[in-house]
Amino acid sequence: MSTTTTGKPIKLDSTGARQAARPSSLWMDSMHYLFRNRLAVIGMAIILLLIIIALFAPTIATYDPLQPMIGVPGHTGRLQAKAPCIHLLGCPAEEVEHYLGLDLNARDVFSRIVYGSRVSLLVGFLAVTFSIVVGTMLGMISGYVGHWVDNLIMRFMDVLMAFPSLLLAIVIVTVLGPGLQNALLAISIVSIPVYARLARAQVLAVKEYEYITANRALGAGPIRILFVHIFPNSLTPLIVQGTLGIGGAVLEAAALSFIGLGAQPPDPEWGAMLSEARSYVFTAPHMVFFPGFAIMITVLGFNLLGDGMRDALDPRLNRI
Amino acid sequence: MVKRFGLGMLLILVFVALSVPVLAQDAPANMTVSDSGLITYAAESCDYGGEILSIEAVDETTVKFTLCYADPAFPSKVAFAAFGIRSSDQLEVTGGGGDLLSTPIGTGPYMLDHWDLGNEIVLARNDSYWGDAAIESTLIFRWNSESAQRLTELQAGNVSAIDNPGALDIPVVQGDPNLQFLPREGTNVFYVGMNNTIAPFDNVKVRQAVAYGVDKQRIVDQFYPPGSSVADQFMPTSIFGYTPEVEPFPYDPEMARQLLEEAAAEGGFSLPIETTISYRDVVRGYLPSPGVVAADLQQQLAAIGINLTIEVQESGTFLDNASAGRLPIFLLGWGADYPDATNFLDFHFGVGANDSFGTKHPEITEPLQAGARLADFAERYPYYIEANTAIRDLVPMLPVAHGGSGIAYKAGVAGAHTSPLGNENFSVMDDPTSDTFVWMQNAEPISMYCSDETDGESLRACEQVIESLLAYEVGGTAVVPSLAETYEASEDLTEWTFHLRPGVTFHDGSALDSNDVVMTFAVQWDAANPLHVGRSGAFDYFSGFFAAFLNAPES
Repeated sequence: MSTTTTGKPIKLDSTGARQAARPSSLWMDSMHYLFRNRLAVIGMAIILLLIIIALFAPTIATYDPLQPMIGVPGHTGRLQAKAPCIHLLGCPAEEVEHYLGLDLNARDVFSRIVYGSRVSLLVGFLAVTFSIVVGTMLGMISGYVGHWVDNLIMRFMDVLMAFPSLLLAIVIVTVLGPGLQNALLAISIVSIPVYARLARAQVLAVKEYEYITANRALGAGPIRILFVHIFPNSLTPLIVQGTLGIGGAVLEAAALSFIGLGAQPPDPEWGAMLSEARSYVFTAPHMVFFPGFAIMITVLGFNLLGDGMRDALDPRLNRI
Repeated sequence: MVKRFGLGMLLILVFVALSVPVLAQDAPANMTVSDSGLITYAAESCDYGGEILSIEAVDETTVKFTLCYADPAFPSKVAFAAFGIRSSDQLEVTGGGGDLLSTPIGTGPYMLDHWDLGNEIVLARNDSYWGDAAIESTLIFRWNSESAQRLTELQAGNVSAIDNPGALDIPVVQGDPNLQFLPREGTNVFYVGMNNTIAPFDNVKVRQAVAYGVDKQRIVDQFYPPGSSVADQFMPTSIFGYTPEVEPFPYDPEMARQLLEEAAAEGGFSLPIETTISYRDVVRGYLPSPGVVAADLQQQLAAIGINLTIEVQESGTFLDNASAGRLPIFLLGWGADYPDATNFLDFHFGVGANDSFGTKHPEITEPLQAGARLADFAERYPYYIEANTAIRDLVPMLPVAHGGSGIAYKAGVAGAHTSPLGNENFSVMDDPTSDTFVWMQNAEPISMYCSDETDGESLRACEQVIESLLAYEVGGTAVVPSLAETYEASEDLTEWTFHLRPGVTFHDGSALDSNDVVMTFAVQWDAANPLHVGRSGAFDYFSGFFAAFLNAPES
C-alpha cells in the first residue's frame, strides 16, 4: 500500500509499518507537509524574495536612497513628490525613470523601499532572535526549577504582559531615546513574555515524561537534562511563534518609526516613509501606497509561513 | 436689649472681619486712584529700563500713555491682539488668570458661546456691536494638524475655509470649481538659528560656513508653495527695516568647507562636526513642511562637513528650549505682528531678546536701539543697514525663506481675504450655503487670554472676540481706529493720547471706560500687580514690545 501519494487516510499499525515503507522523521514529515501547503510556500517565496532584495539592495536600487534628485542630470523643475515614471507604461521617454516616483525630499521611492527591506528584515530577525533566546532561557529555568524562582520570573513576565505591547515599546524608547537600535531593543523586550510562557509550558509538560525520569535515574545533571533532553523537545511551538513574531516585530518597528521613535531621518524605513507622506495621501498616493504595501507583504509572508509551520509541526493534526 | 440687635451686630462683625484683609491689602504701589475713580499707573522713573513711564485715565474716555523715549511704532504695537482690551471687572474677578483664559469678555463682533475643549470654539454674533455687525450669526473655530484632513473637510463642505492647505494640495484646490485659493503674502521669515554659546557654533566661522553652505534657492523652489521667496535678510522685503544694500552671503559650498577647516584648526576639533538640529513638527506659514526641510538641510550640510542628527520636539518644549538657549542649531520662524523693523529685529536681536542665539552682540544691539527711538524713517534707515550688515556677518541665524501660505475657501464665500499678519477677520465673511461660518486652522488656541500667548492660532481666535485700542485694516497692515476713535501724539512721540469711542459695551453689558484700558496694560506691565498672572505669566509680547516689566523680579 502506498503511503505517500493516494492522500487517503492511512492508520499506522502497532508495528510501525509506515516507517518501514518510507524512512522518515518528525522534521522530514513536517517539511513535507509544509511544502504541500500552498499558502506556506507563497509565504516562503515572499520571504526569500525579500531576503534577496535586502542582500542585493545596492544592485537592485536604481539610485542612492539618500540622494535628492535635485540637480541630478535629467531632472528639472519641481521634483517634490513626483509621480512614478515608467517608460513601458507610457511615461514620456525624455523623463527620467523612477519606478515608484519621488518622495517629499525628491528621493527615489523605489530605492528607498529596496533599502528599507534591509532595515525591516534586520529588525524582525534580530528582535525575535533576542527575545526567543532570553524568553526561552527564562521560561525554561522557571519551568524546571519551579517554586519561588518560577513565581518571581513569571510574575515579572505577567507585569510585562499587562501593558499593551506597543505602549510598552513606546515607553521604553522614550526612556532610552528615539532610534532604530533602541526601537529594536524595545520590541525585543516586549515580546519576551510570550516566549517565556511558551517555553515554561513546554518544559512543565516534557519534564514529567518518563525518559526524563530515566535520565535523572541515570545520574544526569539538571543542566544536561534541561538543555540536552528537554530543550529539543520543546522547540516546536517556539519556532512557530518565532516565525509569526517576525511579522509582528516588522509591524511594530514600522509603527514606532511612524510616530518618530524608530528609524531617524534620513534612513529609509517603511514606517517612517509612510509617516512623512501621510499628509499627501490623496494628492501623492504613491508615497503612501508603496511603503504601506511593502510592510503588508512582508508581514503577510511571515504570517503565511508561520501558519503553515504550525499546521506542519502540530502532531495532533491528523493529516496522513 | 442684646437680643434685639444680635443678628444685625453679628452681620456687621462678619462684614468687618471680612473687609479687614481687603482694606489692609494695599493697592499696587504704582497705582493711584483719583477721587472720581480714575486710575493712573506710573513708574517712579525710567530707570527700570522699559519703554512706558505712565498710563493715565485722564477722563472716562481718554487714556494717555507717557513713554520714556520716542516710539514711532507705538500705534502699531497697541493695535496688536496681545493688547486687546479686557474688562477690568473681569480681570479682578478672575484674579488675572483662571476663567480669564477660557471665557474672554471683550467688545468684538463675536462673543464666546462655548469652548468645547479639544473639539471646537463656538462664537455667537454680538448684536450690540459698535461697528458693522458680523454677517454670519455663528462662527466656529475648528482645528486639525493634518493638511490632508483639513482639505477633506473642506471638500466635503463641513467647513467654510481651511488655513494652510498643504503645498501639494494647492493645485488641487485651484483646480476645484467649488473652492478658491487665496495666497497670503509672506511677511514672515524662516531661519536656522544657531546659539553662539554652544560649541561648535561659538566660532563665527562655523556659523558663516552654514550661511555659505545652504542652498536656499533649492529649498524655496522645491519645498515651498508658490508665493514664497528666498530670504536675503531677517526682514521681509515689504516691511520697513529691509535694506537691499546689504547683500547676503552667496551659496558657496567650497567657501563653507574652507571656513569649517579653518574653524576646526582654530578650535582643535575634527571634521565632520556632529551635532543635533531641533525643530517642532508644526506647520506654520514660514515653514510649511518642517520635516522635509530638516531632512534637506541635513543632506546639504553633510556635504560641507556638518552631520546633523534630527530631533523633533513637542512645540511648547521646543519653544522653551530655544528661548532658554539650550539648542545648538534649530529651525524656527517669525511672522509679522505689526509692520515695523522693531517687531522683527528688536524682538530677536535687541537687548530685551531671549537667549535663542546666545550672547548678544553690541554690533547689533546698538544700532537697533538707536533706530527704534527715532521717528523719521529716513533717519532710522542707516541704523538698519548697520544692524542688518552685522547680523549677516555675525550670523546669529541664517534667514532661509519668506514662506507664502494661503487659505482655501469655499468658492461662494463673500468677503474672503487673507491677512499678511495672519489675523483674518471673519465678521466680514459670508458663507452663502449656511448661517454659520466654520473656520478650520492648524491647531487649537492654547488660551484666549492673548496677552500671555504668542501662538498665531490663539491670537486669531482672540481677534474675533477682543479688540484693541487700534486695529489693522481688514486684510492689510495699516493701522485704523478701533476702540479708540482718534488718537494723537506729542511732537517728540513720547506722549500718546487715545480718545475712546463712546457707548461701547463689553459682551457682559458693562460699559468700556478708560480704567479698563489702563488696567489691561497695567496687569501686564507691573510684575508686582496681583493680577499679573496669565497662563504662564511670561507676557512675552509686553516685554518684547515695551522692553521691560515694572517691578520685574531680579533674575
